Amino acid sequence: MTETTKITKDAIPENMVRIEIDDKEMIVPRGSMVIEAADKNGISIPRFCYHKKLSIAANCRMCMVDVEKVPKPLPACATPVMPDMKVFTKSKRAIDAQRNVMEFLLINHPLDCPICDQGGECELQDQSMGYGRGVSRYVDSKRVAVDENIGSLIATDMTRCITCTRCVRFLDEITGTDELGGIGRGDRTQIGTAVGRSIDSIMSGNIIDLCPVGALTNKPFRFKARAWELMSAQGVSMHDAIGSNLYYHTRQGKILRTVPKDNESLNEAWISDRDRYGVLGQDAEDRVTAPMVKENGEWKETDWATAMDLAVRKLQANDAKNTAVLAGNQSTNEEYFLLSKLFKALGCANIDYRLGQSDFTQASGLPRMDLNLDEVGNNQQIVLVGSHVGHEQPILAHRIRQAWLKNGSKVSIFNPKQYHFNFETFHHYVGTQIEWVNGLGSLAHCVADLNKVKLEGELGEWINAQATDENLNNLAKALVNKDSNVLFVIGQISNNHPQAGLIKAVVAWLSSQTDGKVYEMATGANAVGAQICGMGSQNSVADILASDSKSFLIYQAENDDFNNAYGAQIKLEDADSVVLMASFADDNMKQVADVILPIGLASEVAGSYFNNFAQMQGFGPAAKLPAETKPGWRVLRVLANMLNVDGFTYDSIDEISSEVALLTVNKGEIDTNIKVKAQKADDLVLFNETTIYDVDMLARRSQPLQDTVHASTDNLNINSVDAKKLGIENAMQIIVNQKVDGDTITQSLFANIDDKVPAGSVNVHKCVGLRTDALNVTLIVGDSV
Amino acid sequence: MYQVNPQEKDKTLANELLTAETKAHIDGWLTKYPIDQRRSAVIGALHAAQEQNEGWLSKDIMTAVAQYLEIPPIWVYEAASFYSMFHTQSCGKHKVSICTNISCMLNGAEKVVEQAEKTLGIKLGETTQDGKIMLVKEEECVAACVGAPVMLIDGHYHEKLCEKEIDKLLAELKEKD
Repeated sequence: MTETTKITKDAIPENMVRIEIDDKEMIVPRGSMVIEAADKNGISIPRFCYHKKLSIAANCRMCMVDVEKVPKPLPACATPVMPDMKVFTKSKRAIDAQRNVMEFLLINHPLDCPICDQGGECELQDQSMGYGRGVSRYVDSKRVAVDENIGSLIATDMTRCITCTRCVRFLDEITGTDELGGIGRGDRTQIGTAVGRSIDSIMSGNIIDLCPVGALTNKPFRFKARAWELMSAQGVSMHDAIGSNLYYHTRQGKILRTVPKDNESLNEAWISDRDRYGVLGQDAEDRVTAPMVKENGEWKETDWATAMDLAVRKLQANDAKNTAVLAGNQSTNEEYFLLSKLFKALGCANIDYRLGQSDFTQASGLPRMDLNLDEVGNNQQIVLVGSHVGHEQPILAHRIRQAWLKNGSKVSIFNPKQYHFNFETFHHYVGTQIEWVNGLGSLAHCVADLNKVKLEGELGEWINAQATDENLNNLAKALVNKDSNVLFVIGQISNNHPQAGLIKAVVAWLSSQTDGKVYEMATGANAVGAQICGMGSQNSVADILASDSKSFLIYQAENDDFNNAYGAQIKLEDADSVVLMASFADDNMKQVADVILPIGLASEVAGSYFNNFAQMQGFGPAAKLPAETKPGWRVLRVLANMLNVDGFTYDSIDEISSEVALLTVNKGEIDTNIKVKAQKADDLVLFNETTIYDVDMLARRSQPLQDTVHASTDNLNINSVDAKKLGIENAMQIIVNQKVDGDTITQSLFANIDDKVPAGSVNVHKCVGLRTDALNVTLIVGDSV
Repeated sequence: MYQVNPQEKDKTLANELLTAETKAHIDGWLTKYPIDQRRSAVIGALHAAQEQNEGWLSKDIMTAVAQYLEIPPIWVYEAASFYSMFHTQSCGKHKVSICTNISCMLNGAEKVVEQAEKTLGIKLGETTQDGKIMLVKEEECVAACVGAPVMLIDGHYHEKLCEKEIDKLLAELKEKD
């Protein structure tokens, strides 16, 4: 559309209107606001409170524009477009109004820009340059607000607040946690919490980006750098498989903070706190920055040549059949590709990345994914199967919440703990790790009865054996209803469940009966990439730990990543040789390893990730590799050459990436023809939970995240009924015994009575060291402390 | 669409702090609004809670009200801090509010304030030493301009005040418990 051609009336569709802004003609949707039309057409209108993703408040009054035939200026954010409306954003009336508003906004704003973190990227600063007066006419005393401590992630300077309420609306509309509000009245209104509470939303960091002034700033980033000193590098989330797009902001090659990059089909305009602050784990104390070898039990730093020589000798000491490669799930595709190519060429079949899982019956392919993320909202019925969704994939939780809020989707849940969700639940089934799986079976039984299908095979027998009940029958009726689209989300609690294969089979069967779709979560940021690159098609980690493997290569993983941390530690202690290629080495790894080769994190190397939807997203190195650290792919290439394996002549990462891009991506499928492993409760049933900030090496080391309320504890959570029966009180010391395969794992924990845990169950966090694959535990009650 | 975000189910404080009478009062208010607009009941609920809690709203009792109404605590605190008839700090049992808005001011509200302050020996916003009487700071227009200047004692209107009348009213108030 050029400015000279006139739009004829016939050319305007029914639901659109023609307007003019600053003499520029445009056709915009009926009912949209003037500011949206202006934004779409590149006309800038100053604003503070308006944000495209939030409701319209119209309380800053900065976006005043002049509309023909209207006697006074109007706020562009709250003025709907009208046919043939003529808007002027630069007329004298508009500019005067904007200047006047600016003067009022600056009345109470402190002149502390030189010590304000927002300085240089401040909307108020920019706009006062454009619209403000050089000198303030205001001579009375300014308002001062007391700062609150709202947690370890966000710093507050409430005196700078201009009460635009973007943060209040974000926490109400997007996260649904309502933690901030406008306290007081009139000119004394302040934004604050309900008396000294912290902000505990898992997406809270976004209010830093939303704040147009320096009232809410990034706490760990405070006073670290100025906006104009920072370089920006594109990255992809290292903590969940949504693959949120983000920018790392670096100074002198060091990542100082993370901000979201808009991607409407994935993370929209947001990122979770884990993605924002997780990378700060990069500077942990146990970061290895030089190759190290162990001599007589003492760790010594050495040069790469010596370390590589030793690594090669260690790997050659044993036959390839007795060698195993165990990798974490947040490395790049290129590293996985080389790793699997190298060890397969050597004849090694012991390669795995699924360290946290225990049932591998349905884990040999990609996760089944029948839809894209932006289609989640199209489903009227959403069933979460074993998922604390907000803590597993925060952006998916956001999508489900929006589906509930905007489309009235009904969300049902099967879980081993009564989690609090930011959407209402239609059917919330909570039972022990054994009960909720049976509950899912009961639902399948109800669906089978409603659809009058005869069930066959082992799965059919198992489903038939589950009792039906009226509540589940109501849910079943809603699911089989032909008018509603159904989505089943298989969460990470299911992935790590000892009956994962059964759960997935039941879900697949349910989806076939209800014409539903399945969203199977991947556990780990690049688990999908690892699978595509061939890391998960051989012997599983459980087989490997049970095998005679004597020689290990541990790649970007550590003890805490394993389902069976205790067993892994024993196995590695007994091994002939352990080569560790990682960015971090904690005491456990240092105890078992013989040589450490320091490699870079995904934020420090070039590479790519596959997300849960099997989309490949590439990125360049954002940060400089610390000291002697090298990119993993280069080390693997040299290692391959030293081991005399052909086909490792790559000179650049692009050559590997292009080979990865050619790999076949098979659609994930779930088999319903399975063998059923029944589980039985002897005493109390354990729910061993991987918490939100305990998912990978990096998040575990991010101090700001570990200082939030969501960090793991060494509590033993138990229902008040069981506690009463066993005579347990809060803070009592409890000995937990877990018997597996003749071994007994014992941990001493502190009791915490919590009715979110169902009766008959105990809940612990995974970091305490119990296994996830054995559900039966017994307690010994000690003394209160 | 207007919606209340799902709240934690914990109602410990509501059960512990709110008396049966207060709860019945709040229930009455709740019947007046649709369930998804129960936020509207917050003012009525706060009046009941304030009366129960000797004339002021503690942090805990506000949280209790939020739990009872199943709305976010911040909504309760916003309302309590906005209106001059709610007190978020411990204060006197009886509240004397003198309107100082335009009509009352033109009819001598400043003198009324001066006299009340002298008689009670406290400033606006303060409470007498025995903790009985409080002079509410900045009462906004009470919609009785026809009777200006106006003083409210525990919610009761006293209009067209003169010196004698003020002394009488305050003396009576001092006698009350």
